[in-house]
Amino acid sequence: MVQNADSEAGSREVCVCGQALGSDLRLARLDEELLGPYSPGLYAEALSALIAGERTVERERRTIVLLPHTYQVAEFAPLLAMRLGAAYVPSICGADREDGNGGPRFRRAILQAKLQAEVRPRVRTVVATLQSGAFSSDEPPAPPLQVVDVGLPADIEGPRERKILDREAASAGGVDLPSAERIVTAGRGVGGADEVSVAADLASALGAELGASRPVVDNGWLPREHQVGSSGHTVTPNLYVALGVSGSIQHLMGMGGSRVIVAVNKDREAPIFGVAHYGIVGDLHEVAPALTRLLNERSAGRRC
Amino acid sequence: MRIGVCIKQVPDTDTRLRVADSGRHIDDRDVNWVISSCDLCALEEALLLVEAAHQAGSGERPELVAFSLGPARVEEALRKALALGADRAVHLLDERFQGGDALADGRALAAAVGREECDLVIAGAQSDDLGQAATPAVLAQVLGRPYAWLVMAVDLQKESRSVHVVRELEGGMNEVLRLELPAVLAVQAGINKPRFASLRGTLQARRKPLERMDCSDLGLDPESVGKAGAGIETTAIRLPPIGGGGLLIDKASPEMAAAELVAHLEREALL
Ligand SMILES: Cc1cc2nc3c(=O)[nH]c(=O)nc-3n(C[C@H](O)[C@H](O)[C@H](O)COP(=O)(O)OP(=O)(O)OC[C@H]3O[C@@H](n4cnc5c(N)ncnc54)[C@H](O)[C@@H]3O)c2cc1C
Ligand SMILES: Nc1ncnc2c1ncn2[C@@H]1O[C@H](COP(=O)(O)O)[C@@H](O)[C@H]1O
Repeated sequence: MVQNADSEAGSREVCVCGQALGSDLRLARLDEELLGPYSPGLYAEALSALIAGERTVERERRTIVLLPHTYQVAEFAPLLAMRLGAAYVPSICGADREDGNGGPRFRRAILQAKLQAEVRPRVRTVVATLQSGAFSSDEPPAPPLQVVDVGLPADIEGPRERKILDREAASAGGVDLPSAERIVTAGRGVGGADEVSVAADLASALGAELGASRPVVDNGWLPREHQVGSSGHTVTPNLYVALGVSGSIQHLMGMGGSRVIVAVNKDREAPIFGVAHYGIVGDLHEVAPALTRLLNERSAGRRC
Repeated sequence: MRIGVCIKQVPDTDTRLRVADSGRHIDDRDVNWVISSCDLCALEEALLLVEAAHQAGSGERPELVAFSLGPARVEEALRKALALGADRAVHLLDERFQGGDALADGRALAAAVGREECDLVIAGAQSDDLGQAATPAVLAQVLGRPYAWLVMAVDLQKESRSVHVVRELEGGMNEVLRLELPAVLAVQAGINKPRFASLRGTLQARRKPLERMDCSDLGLDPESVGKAGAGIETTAIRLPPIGGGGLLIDKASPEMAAAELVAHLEREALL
């Protein structure tokens, strides 16, 4: 069900979150082949029929449907929530079990991860999606999962008004980011196409490849093949230097596995400092050139 | 043909945000309010479609209507949309709309869009404030229309009353889809480069129609919108916990900060 993503990691995270919520775990597996080509309407219809079937057995209990927040799930999960008459809690990064005080609480990032909201569902059925990486799935869930294969619910048709015509690669390569040992990334904080050179200069002083956050690419300051993140490259260099990058979850998904992360940001509350091994609070237009100068002097000194 | 665009007014991403004393809202005293970034792309895409249809000389020029749900300040965002080229604006304004989530707001927007009989609705993929990535899906479901999220290209097929779109997938792939009209699309940032408003546009915007609608205008049950109609309730907002435990270098001069970092990187054998 999870396309192009690590679906196993996704389902492990779902189990970890389910346990945090104190629920019994049973994994109902529906073969994708049975469903036919994906459309949000079809998946919402099929899953709601399955879940509604489960619910008639356990009428009075609270039902929480957990899904990994992939591009595909994010598209159909709101439709599923509506079909179930459920509350929809997208991309949660934390969950606390029922406290006798109105049910479970979920935490999610808001305002570009500058703040975190705690929310409470107002109905007994909830559809929640899990922000990728928020529930550590390193350890397998304690009790062995009971896996039940389920068939396609009867009468599932799916809407006909949406059809897949083709699949294509989004952009050609050109920049070899995934195998780079060092990367310097320009974030929106660099300020403009003409200013990307502060990042490029530091990159050449370090012998690094040049990366970009999505807005930098969207604004046309750098070509798409430089983009790091969930909709760009996943990279794991020894050294990742982020200049003027706030540290959104989509960016972290692409570079969180780097060995040493350095962040330069003028906002000391920027979420990127939460993952950085070394953070410099300051104006990148002053700090990056100072670094470039120092590194160039250093290598010139070594040559003599 | 009529195209609807959903725009949301949000705090400027560069605003320093503070939690209000209530602990449930942001302190909006010094907030600079702007149109959410994806929604500017949604509006731009609609303008490009209108212009293309016009240039093709295919008879009538599609009408472009901007929708926004929010308090009185939202009128400024709608005027901006009119200045950029929208023909009309609809402001969903009612105290009872306050405190909604994607389900409640999507329902209210669906009522307005349905009333205006839009053939195509274009919204943003994800708002810069709540980031639910769900409001346009709710709108589509309420109206029973096909929906696509994370759209990166739109091609209107007028003769067959359909639209071809490119949808972003994970792992550097795209999918090309055909949706029958009327349809709802949620576009991703980067689909286009939004234009700036001209002085002429700004002056014209003042004379363009802007209509306000409340629950009863839209025939909406007040229990189905706003706080009452929401599936979730926000119990608290706070600064996110600082994780990591990395070293924060906060030196008086950039040179000192650079020197300290280089020393650390040398110790890590990275240089
Ligand atoms: C489905 C989806 C997929 C996405 N995929 C990706 C992806 O693959 N990659 C990606 O990067 N994003 C992706 N995004 C976008 C993501 O949500 C963020 O919007 C984006 O990562 C923000 O980029 P940024 O950090 O460069 O910009 P901002 O969030 O605007 O941050 C700019 C930062 O620069 C700092 N700054 C400004 N001026 C200076 C200065 N002079 N000196 C120092 N610091 C300064 C600011 O304090 C701020 O922290 C995706 C979003 C969605 C919805
Ligand atoms: N109050 C609103 N008024 C108009 N459009 C909205 C509103 N809330 C959400 N939208 C639209 O739905 C998109 C996704 O919002 P969200 O579901 O909050 O991420 C936004 O980019 C807008 O296009």
